[in-house]
Amino acid sequence: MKKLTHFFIFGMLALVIIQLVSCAEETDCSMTARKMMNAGFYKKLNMAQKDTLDTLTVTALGTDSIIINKDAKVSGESLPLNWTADSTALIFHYTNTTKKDTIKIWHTNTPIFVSMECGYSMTQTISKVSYTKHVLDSINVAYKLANVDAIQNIRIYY
Amino acid sequence: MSMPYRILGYIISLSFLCFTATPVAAQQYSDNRQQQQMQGTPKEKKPKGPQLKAPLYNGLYVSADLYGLGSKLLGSDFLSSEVGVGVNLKNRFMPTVELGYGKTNKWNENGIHYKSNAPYFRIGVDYNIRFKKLDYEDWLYFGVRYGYSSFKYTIGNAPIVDPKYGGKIDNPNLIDPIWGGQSIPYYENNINGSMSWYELVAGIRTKIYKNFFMGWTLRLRYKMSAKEAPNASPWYIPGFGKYASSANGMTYTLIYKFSLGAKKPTVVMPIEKKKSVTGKKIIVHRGGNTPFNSK
Repeated sequence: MKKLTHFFIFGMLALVIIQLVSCAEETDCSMTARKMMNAGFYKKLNMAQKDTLDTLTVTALGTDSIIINKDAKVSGESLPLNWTADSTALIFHYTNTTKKDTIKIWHTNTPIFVSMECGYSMTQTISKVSYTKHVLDSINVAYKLANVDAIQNIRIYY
Repeated sequence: MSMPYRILGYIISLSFLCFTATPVAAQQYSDNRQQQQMQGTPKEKKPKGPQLKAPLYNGLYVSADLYGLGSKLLGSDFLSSEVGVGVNLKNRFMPTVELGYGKTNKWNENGIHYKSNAPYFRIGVDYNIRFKKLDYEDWLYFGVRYGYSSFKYTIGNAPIVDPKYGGKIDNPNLIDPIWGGQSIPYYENNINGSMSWYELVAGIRTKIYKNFFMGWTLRLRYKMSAKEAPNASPWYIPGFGKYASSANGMTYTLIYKFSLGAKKPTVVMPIEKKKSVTGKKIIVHRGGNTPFNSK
């Protein structure tokens, strides 16, 4: 009888430990954070030197959505790409001129299942970029994978 | 206060008692030893009691786990059942093979459907730390396992259907929160996956009636390697649990012992070696081998 009591005490303690450990384990859903296309602004005359734009507003083409609203003194931006289309068109509005540039990014979207608790994460790979040259000079794709690590995807030269 | 909190309270109190009592006890022990050394009294050894001497082969143990079935009945997402076979060697080691089957078929509240079912196996050995005790069939043991499962899994992303008015909305998991638009379809059927892992096991086993036993084990599982699809991690690994770098688990097993020609262990009275006043070694027999009558 005594040993059976010990047996069940052990079982209960094991259950409590399992429950406590399970409760302490929080689900980490950081993998599902939205991945962005990171753009850096550079001077065309000195390609290594960063350029700073006085104020920048970015809107989505064909909608009235404002992605970035009057960001001041910016040398780079993180921009979202569309999950449900294979291209994203963004309009860059500059303050010191009425001119604006349209940048169209072509990309592939691959949803990735993470877990039942966290759902999905979207992987987006940039394939090409087309753009107008009203203010900007050129764009170079430096890294194809949209990311959360602030790795620069495109370099925009002014 | 609810029961789990009360149990937790007891555990915390016991831990506190252990931490606070140990230094005091150690101090008292140290003081006593110093006093003994100063007085010149020789340190007395506690005589060893009778010990068990087990033959190499002690029987074959066949077990069935009930915890996997029970936890499913209590609302777990996973169903697993397994049987194990172990050979008792010297009442100290138990090489063990466990074969099982794990299954899940789960919908989450956002309409993701995950389905998988597959067999798994584990192989390993247990070490009984009570191997010399006279109640030799009650084990307190630690062990290791290597586990492996090869499985297929299916993940679907269904739209949510209004059960009253009909109609359906896109699955919210894959609607772009910035750009909007329709939900992206996602359906991956019969993805091949596999995983290997190792387990650290702590357990007890006790006799309940004749050749029937029952046992608990607590298991800490650690991933060794895994094969998965690039766009879909598995969520459930049969035999392991939720897919992660580590997981914990439990088993509650009913065990039957097949003696199959196993001899009963004998009780040995230990031999003590002492030194006489002249320095010669004297062997004192405190008893001989005696047949052990099993309870």
